[in-house]
Amino acid sequence: MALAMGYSLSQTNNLPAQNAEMVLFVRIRANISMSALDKLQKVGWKLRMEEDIVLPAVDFDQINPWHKWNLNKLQCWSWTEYDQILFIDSDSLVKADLSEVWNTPGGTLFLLSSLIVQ
Amino acid sequence: MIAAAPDAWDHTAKDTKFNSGVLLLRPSEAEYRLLLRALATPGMHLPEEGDQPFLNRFYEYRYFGLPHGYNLNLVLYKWFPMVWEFLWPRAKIVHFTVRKPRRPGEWCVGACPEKGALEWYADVFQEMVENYGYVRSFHSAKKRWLDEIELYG
Repeated sequence: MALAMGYSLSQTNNLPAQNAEMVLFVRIRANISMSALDKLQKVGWKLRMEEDIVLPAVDFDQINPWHKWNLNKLQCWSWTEYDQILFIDSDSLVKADLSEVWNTPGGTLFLLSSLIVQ
Repeated sequence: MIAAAPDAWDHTAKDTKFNSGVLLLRPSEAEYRLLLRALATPGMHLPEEGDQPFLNRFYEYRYFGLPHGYNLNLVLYKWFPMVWEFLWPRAKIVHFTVRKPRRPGEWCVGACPEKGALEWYADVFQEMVENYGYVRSFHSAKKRWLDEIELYG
């Protein structure tokens, strides 16, 4: 899935012009084969090998199997070397230029978030 | 801050919750710590859930909406065909939610209401195979897949 997704992204977007790069979150524990990783790189992915997120409050065995590892997505918030990240599920295809998304308004701090976790 | 597009289901083309399959986010250590704390807060994450219900609770009332075309949901193809038709030329990202991409030959065995959208996926896949010359076993994948639709579909 990530192969076709990466291919579609590289075909429809000039990422250097957007000052962006395509980074694939690869679960180390998924034991992806070297030949598969090689193909992923050839379609343009920069591979980012990551351990699964550690969440003491979560029992991963109880999570529905089809999104068992989706909480790994939260790790993207810790990738502070990037200003912005557009996370895209790998069961997708990119169909058109995405450059305008980087100008989506935002950056406001919301104090509500600190209330939620009190 | 985050931005995301509305979710869709068989009963609504425009849910009040967002689909977390496409997320624009700004990395921040402070926000990351807050997310992890919230996740451990009772009621914020139920045991069987993935990230989407949690993020919808965490960012409720305070996320930016992306246009639907940033996360065109395959569920619309069958249940809201006019919405799908309208969004298709405007789509930036197509999300294969209800029928996950597999090798084209393994799709659409039996009833396959999403045939048109999957045909597009198969075309992109085939183009990739031809451009890169690898995944040899997939070379005739589209033909085999279309044959299967004829047989079973």
